[in-house]
Amino acid sequence: MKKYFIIPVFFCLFFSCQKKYEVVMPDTATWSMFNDPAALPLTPASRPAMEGVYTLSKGNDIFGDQAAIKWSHTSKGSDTTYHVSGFFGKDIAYFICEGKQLNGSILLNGYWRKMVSTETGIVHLTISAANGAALLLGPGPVITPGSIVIDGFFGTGSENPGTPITLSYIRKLNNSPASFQIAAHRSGGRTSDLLPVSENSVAMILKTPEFGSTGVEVDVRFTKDGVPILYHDNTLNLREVQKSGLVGPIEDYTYDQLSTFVRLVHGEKIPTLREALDAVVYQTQLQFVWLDTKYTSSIAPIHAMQLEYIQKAAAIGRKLDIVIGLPGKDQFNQFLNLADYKNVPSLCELGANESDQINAKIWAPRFTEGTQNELVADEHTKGRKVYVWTVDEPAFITSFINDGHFDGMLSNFPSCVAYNYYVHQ
Amino acid sequence: MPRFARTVIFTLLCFDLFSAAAQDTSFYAKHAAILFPYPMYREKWRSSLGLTLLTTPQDITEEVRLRIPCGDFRLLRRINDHFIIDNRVMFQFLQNHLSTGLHFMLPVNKHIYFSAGDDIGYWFGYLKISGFNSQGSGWLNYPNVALGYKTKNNLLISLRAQVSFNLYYKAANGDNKLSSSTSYYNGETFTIGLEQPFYNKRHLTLGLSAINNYFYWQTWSLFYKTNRKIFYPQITVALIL
Amino acid sequence: MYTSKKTYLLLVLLALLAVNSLLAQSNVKIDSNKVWKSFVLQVGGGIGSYTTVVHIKPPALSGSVKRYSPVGTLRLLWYPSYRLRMGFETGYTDFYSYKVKNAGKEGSLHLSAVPLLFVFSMQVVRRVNIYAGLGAYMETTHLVYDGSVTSKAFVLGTNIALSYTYPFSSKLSIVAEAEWMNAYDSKDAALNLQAKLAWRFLRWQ
Repeated sequence: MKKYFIIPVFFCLFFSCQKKYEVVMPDTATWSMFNDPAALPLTPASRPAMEGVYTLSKGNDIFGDQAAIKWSHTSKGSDTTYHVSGFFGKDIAYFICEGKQLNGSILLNGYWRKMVSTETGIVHLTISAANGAALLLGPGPVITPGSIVIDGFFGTGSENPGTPITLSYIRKLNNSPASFQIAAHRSGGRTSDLLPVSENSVAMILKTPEFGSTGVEVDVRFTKDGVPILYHDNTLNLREVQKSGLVGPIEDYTYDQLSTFVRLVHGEKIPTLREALDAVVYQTQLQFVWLDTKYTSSIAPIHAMQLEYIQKAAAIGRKLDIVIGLPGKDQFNQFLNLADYKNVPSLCELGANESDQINAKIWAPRFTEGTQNELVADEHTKGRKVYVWTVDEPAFITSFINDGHFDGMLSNFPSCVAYNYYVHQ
Repeated sequence: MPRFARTVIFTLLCFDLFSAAAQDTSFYAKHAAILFPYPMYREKWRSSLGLTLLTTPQDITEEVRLRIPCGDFRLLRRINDHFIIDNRVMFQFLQNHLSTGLHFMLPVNKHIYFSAGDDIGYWFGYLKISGFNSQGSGWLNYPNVALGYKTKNNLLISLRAQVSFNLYYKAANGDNKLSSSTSYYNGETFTIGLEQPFYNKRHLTLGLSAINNYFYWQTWSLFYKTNRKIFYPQITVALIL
Repeated sequence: MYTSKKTYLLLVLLALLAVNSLLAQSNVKIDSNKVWKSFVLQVGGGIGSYTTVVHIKPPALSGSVKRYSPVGTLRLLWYPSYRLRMGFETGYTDFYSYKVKNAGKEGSLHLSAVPLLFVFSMQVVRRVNIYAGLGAYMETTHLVYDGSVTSKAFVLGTNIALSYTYPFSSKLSIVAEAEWMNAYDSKDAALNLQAKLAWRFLRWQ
């Protein structure tokens, strides 16, 4: 009978290996010092002054040897929320914190996450007065190497932070080329990346600057009654939406039906393109929107909205490029039907010749073609930018930024692109 | 249902399997098989030709759920009463996988058979169309064990457990190359096989596999190694030639 | 309970256990290897119960979700010489239905499915057969809200069934069957109990 144990052991082993893959966001509202009523917002000048490349002397076994620290903000009416993000070189790790000042020190409170796994945790960071807070909070801060030291602790999951981390300022963030766009795929990432908000949602657009994105790519489709919405897949399915009984092509349903019956996986409504562009223009500082046209009918309605929001952005002094993305031949041919198409800002995923034909603002080759430096240089001589997509492998991101000459990169991991761009020398 | 309770139930169910087996009337016959731990008695060669089909994880490959079926050719070479060489070619044009391995096989009694072996596999793929300029290849190692039960009516039931180790892989996209010679534990595969006479003198192999891997060669062009195991259910249908 | 891959393997294992446990009985006569080949058509119906645990979450749900519905099946099988049979199965079932109320507007939805499955079957003992199939379900949404919509999707899926056949002539039999359908991708599953008529309409050696 002893030999009969083998089969149940096989199955027990198999079942024990199965585990649910999910990210449980920790509760970061537990730092009593940060919640002290006496803690005040940071001064406007301290935030950009804090930005830079830092070296890690503690915590580098977990996060790597360097970090790029960058501030971002979103607004809702007169309320502005600032976040500081730290992008690390190991395991596509980052932290996202809010900042306050208390008794001359700067406190940063938030969470960290590794995109290659489900690891996450709480992080508490402090810049003491002697280690740079006095300098940052003073008038006209001039930052030199070693003048800012960020000390703190991080934890795993919901446990209190107890593992030390120390970052020291070494230099400014790279900004060459100055117009390099860190474009986030599906406005920030996919469902499978286990982010706390759904892909192609307004919530993701508002969250994406924290990931280091300077621009977004969104997928545009039309409902049955002609409302442009953000949705990637051809059909309603459980990858994108909660179960409701609605199946089949999204174009079979009106917007009222979708907004009544359907919610995205994290509970948001499917946004209209108008809601998405409102969020970009009025609530973020994003500089670039790539409207990836997933449908094959007339481009004219999207072009009209593109013009409307370019004007709206200009009216409030926002620097914003909105381009119509042409992923295939059908969309390309529809684009040719636009009056004066050569003056319509567009992004062409087909060949360089097709980009010439429509005078595309941007040519976007797939990353699988490599860096193609000669072709890229050729496009630059024509005054055209080149964005590469969708680059997710960290080794390729590093290689494309260090050895390539692209003007922008689309990725599901904008934090990894941000790290490589900002630390590049 | 708690995980522990499910494990206990499975263990008891499997006891039932082999308790029932112990009651079999004696029956001895030769059989024809490919998956079965003791596939042949006196023949030197045996081969089969069939198809495998798997589904890919929806959250990663999204609407690309089904791959084209993969051709599956197996060639067994019997060395002696206890050793066999198992060769396998899985062909899918854009990507292909070859493996060979030595298996030790042991008849435990007239109904229960056991085998243990180790296979080495090599995969390679090319994709140079529609904006792709990619190629990849790699080496894997597959230690495996199997238990088989032969009924008195020529129905052969096999249970195979296999783990895989990724030994080496390289990939290139245009002029960008990526390679790694760091070997890592890749995951496990459990297979249930049914083999029996089917039509006239032909024997049919049916296999259902649960593949749980960080990297699976058929999805090399979509993504490389993931940092969590992905579950791929796979069905195999083959005719023994 | 929506059946995850673990429960799916459980059902496969149970099927194998059923085969093996029953075959192990020394006093059971097993059919000798068939030398006759034939085709068999099974037609019938019954009742189905939607069994998923992934909760249906329409935001404007009014009342509860109706999970019981009639089901019909048509199955064509080829009986070659030996134990294993294969064939094709189709049919019709309503997985579930519900009503909604939102901002003064009312509506209703039901989700139906037509299985399109390639089926394998084996006789376990005399008159008892086990079936396992894989293929797709053509799911259809029937929506009435602010107009009406009928929309379809193909969803990968499987099924497994256990039946008892009582022959009352050389060509006709009555079949009682328990079947579990699983539209894997959409996480829709149902347990059906059916009665069928089986007609052996071709026979050759």
